[in-house]
Amino acid sequence: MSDKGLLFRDTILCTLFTLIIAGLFYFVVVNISFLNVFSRALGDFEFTDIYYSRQMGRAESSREIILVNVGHSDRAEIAEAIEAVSRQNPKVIGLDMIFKDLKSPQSDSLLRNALQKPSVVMAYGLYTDSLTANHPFFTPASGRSGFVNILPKEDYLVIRDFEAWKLTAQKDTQMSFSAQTALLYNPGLRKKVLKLHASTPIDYTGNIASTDSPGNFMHFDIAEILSRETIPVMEGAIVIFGYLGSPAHNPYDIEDKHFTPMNPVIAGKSLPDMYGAVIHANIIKTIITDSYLLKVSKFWTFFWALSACMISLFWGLQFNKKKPVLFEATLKIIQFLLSVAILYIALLLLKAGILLAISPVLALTLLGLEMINFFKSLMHYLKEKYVWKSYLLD
Amino acid sequence: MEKLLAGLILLLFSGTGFAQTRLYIMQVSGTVTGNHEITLKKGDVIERGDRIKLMAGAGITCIDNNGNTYTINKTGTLSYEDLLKTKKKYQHALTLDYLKYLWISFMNQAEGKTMIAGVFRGDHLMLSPADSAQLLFSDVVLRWQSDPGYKEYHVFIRIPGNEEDIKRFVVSDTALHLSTKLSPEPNATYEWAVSTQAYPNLKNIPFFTLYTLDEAAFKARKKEYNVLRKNLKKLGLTEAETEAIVCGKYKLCG
Repeated sequence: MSDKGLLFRDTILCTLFTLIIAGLFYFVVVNISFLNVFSRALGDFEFTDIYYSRQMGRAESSREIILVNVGHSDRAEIAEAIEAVSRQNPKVIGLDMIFKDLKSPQSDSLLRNALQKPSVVMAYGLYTDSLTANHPFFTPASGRSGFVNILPKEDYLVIRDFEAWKLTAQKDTQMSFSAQTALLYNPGLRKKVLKLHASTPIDYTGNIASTDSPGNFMHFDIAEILSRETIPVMEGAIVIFGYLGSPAHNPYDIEDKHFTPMNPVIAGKSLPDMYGAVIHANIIKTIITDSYLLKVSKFWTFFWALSACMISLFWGLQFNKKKPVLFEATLKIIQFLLSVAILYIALLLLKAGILLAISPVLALTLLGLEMINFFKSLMHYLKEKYVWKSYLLD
Repeated sequence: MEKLLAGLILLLFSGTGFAQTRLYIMQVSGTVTGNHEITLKKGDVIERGDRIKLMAGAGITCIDNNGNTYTINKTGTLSYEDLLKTKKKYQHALTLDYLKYLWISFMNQAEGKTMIAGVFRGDHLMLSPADSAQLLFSDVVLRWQSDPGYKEYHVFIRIPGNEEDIKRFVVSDTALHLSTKLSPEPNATYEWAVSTQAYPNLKNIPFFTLYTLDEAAFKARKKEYNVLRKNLKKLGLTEAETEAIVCGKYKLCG
């Protein structure tokens, strides 16, 4: 076999060797209980979160989506606020809350009346075999409601995707709250929304205003709304009522607050960073601005990971053979530069609207280079035992 | 040639169409007034031809229909066109942002906050109205002492018995005319506190109570101290000193 032929064969063998070692690592970390902390800590980690966390993307503010913090207001106050908001002629009023039971006839009646506006969208929770819906007394006149479930199901994980609709066991199509709201705002989006895959990435554009930043979504308190005659910004907008803390954006108030890629801490322990209503606002913004990200499938992610691993090994084997001392001396620097470059490519892709889970690509590429010396030892062993030819040894 | 002409006309019209004709206020700090000296609030609109006035320490952030933001923190009067010039340019330089991120990570320059495992109790900044003061509902001005090193203060207002519903206002001054932020009701009770922290533990900071009176009740209460005022005046005290005594001792302020 020619030198080039041996190089190709060794590249393939070393890639297989890397895959086996990577598989073993993965199996050990995931299945051995005392190492489970690593899988929990790293399983949810995505390098591309840096893009949102460091706000490298489009951090534009939103005029068309406005939030109202219901805080701990009672039903009569919420009803009054809905009436006040509807007088501003918004296009949609979304209520990210569930009124499961009746409370008092007076406040319930006020709320029911307020919900009879044609622009109201309500929420419910959808479970495998049941749903937590509003009491039938609060059925809105529009008849529109959507599930407010978010992905993933565990509350310590980062919310990166959303489901626009679900097919129930009875083969009914249930629309999400965000999709219903977006569709009432722009019915022309229906075809596109129905084509969305089960889990679609959220293109986060921002959070609500805090003391540190003006935020990207404007929000009002119920008291602010009730004290104003007119709020011109609400005209023609989507107004979402939800819980945004008491007082708004209190970092220590974690009711209905979740982890998103916008969290300033991308790995390790941190406080949740975004209220459920703001996550819905980001989803709605993704839908109405048609800014869907193209998520690279698992197959293609593996394909690119394998390709990157093979390319780096093809080059690494040659470098190792020609200048073994220099290879040893600079391996860590090479790995660092390679990881910087791969992450940069992933961020460029994300900016172009393509979401590639870069961790497998990075892991296989770096591990592959690390495996060259082990592979060399293996080749030595095989050569001693059998008639064996290797690019690295011959 | 016709195509070029049509293109030019289209370009001209599209340019006019996309020009911002109104801005919406996204955030206001301090006092900003619009036409007819009306105080501008979040969600209000500023249109072509409008003029706004920023008082000392005031700032404003506006947004247009395309999501662009306009921020100004300079005292003075501005026209709508001046405001348009403050458009914030987002630098979507991914490479630069990425290199900056790498540099900070590499040099371990990430800013760490000073952590304190303890709570603050006792100190308060509030000056006037004194605790449990009675005031005319439309004339409530809260004043507090400045704390060196802090440019912004957080004023918390709540209604006793409804402690969970707290309103927080960020003020870059040491006074707040309450009616610019909410509409105080007559014959109501409010509690207020001022902190340099946005989210202090509200159970640990003291609140001052204030009672708002309607005009008739306020006048009646004032009358009660007319004799005292006259006597104090005879003693040579100025009107301001007299009012300070009535406010401090008898809790009737304003």
